[in-house]
Amino acid sequence: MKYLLAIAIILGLNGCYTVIWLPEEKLPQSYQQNEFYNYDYYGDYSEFYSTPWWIINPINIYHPSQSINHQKEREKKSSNLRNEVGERLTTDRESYSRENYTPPISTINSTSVNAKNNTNNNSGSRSTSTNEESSRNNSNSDNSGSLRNENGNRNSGNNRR
Amino acid sequence: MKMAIEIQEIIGDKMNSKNIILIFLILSINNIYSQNYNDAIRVGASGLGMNARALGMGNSYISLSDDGSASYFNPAGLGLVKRLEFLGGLDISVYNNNSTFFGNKISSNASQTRLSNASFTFPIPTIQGSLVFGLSYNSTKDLIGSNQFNGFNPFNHSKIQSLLNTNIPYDLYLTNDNGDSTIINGRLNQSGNILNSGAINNWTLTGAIEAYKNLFIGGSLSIISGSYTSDFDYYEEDTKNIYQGITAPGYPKTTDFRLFYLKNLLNWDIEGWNAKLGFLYQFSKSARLGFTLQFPKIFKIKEKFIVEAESEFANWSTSIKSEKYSDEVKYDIKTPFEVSGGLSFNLKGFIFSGQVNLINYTELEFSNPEGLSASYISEQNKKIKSLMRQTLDYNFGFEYTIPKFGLRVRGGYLQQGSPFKDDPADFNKKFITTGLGFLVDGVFGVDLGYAYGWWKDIGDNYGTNLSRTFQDINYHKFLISTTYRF
Repeated sequence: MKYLLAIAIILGLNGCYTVIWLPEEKLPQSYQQNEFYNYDYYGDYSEFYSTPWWIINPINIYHPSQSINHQKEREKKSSNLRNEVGERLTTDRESYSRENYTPPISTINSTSVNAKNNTNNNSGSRSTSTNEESSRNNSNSDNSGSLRNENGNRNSGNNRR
Repeated sequence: MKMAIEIQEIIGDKMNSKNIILIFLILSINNIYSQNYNDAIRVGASGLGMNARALGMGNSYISLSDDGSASYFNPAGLGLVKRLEFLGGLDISVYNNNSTFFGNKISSNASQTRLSNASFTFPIPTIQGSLVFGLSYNSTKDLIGSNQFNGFNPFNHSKIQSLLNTNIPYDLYLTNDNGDSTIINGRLNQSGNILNSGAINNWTLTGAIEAYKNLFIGGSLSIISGSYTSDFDYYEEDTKNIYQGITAPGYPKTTDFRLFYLKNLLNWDIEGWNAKLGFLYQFSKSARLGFTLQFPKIFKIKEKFIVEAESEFANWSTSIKSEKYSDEVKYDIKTPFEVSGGLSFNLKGFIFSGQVNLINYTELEFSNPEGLSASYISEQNKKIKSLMRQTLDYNFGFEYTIPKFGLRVRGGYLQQGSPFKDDPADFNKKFITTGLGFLVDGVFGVDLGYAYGWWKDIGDNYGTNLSRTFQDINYHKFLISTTYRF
């Protein structure tokens, strides 16, 4: 118990290492790779153990503080919808191309999950400026006494053998 | 009033008033029927867990524990889980007993299939470090067993004689009218079979946090549920026609004793709780170090003990009313603290892991009896202290991952020491284990684990080393675990 107390005191003095993400904050897009399962030796198991789920499946959170931008985005989308009346569109396909997609920063190996996610999340949404838009678009794209003692068990007594 | 009725039933048609005092004495003896240290060991000794990956590595998993099974092995390991995880599995256990009884060897077996575990792990999104919670159901130990025996006991003792301190031989017309002596004097063929089944299950809430860089601390709190049934049929037969005269003097119908039969049926309803604290430190990519402190587990046992018995003579037979000897009692069993430590090395796709577990069985304890006398409980606790010992269990394991195929190969060995002080090494439970793992599409993992165990044991039908079975036990456990991480 002394050791437990000592550990608790040391940790208390240093503060806790873990910092929880709060919905008001920008969703973390980088993470520390767990090097115990190095990709070179563990292949897909490396991602299996290392990649946080919020990187693979970003969380869709509504931010009140960003409501103005959100409103603008809605108007923009509505506008796009109104224009989608079965006629030819002038939307530039390149704006949704992979080149415009900014991958999350990560210490993971080049062959690991980020590359995979880039391929999957090809809506181009992460190139937009607000975190909120990123979240929304990404989520759209990824989805008895003696009797009992004589019961055949041991009856060692004091001179069992 | 109840006692008076009971006495009347016992007296029946063949008892006179001068023996009422004797009956009171016998009843008072019956009131101290109770459990013994075997019951404490049943729940106190370690099981084989429920995770196929861990089992394949000899359950040397304290320093790994990076999945939902961390709730059982090392709660701190849950802090290493980064994805949402569903984990579930199946357990198939087979118990074989080759029992030798007065020179006769008989094999028996028991098997059991059940859900081994189901868990959900939820890592909280973090900017730095790790905070993970998990809910799990773990079937941590099976309670299966079997024993079958048959042999002629040439000595002048028998179960009938050993039960003279109860009413059973008297009620079966195997004694004189005083109930204190019998013409039966051993030299009977003794046979029987025991079939045990049941399991201990844990409903566990686990939490883990990365308290310092690469240092994980976790805790788990479990609610225990479970059941246990032991069905023991025992026979003594006069196969050599030794007792051809009247068995109960004054009752000619008891001429030529043939058979005595006794059934003991023990039913447990198990509840309880336990808590575990774990630490895990990861040395970059090369190694992990784990420690756990298992707090005493509290098992609350609600016990039904049912007795049936019968005697057969050449031209007559009789049986006892089971309700007369059956009863229900309650008591608690507290297990000792367990301290465990383990280390795993990671070398180019190879993981080597080892751990030790210290448990002092002399600290097993009965408490809070209902329907049992405090002095009897105290006596059993003293026996535990004098008969049990401290053991150091150990586990080794390895795992090799073939990254190209998403395939893992595992092997391991573990030993669980016998809790009995005087037992030689071959009474220790030894297991070799192996296993395979596959990963499909990077999200779906399937693991298979197998353990083969062997050890010796003994069992006494009555007394100490009077009617003893010498048992060679081997044991098979198959585990299938599936993991979905997303």
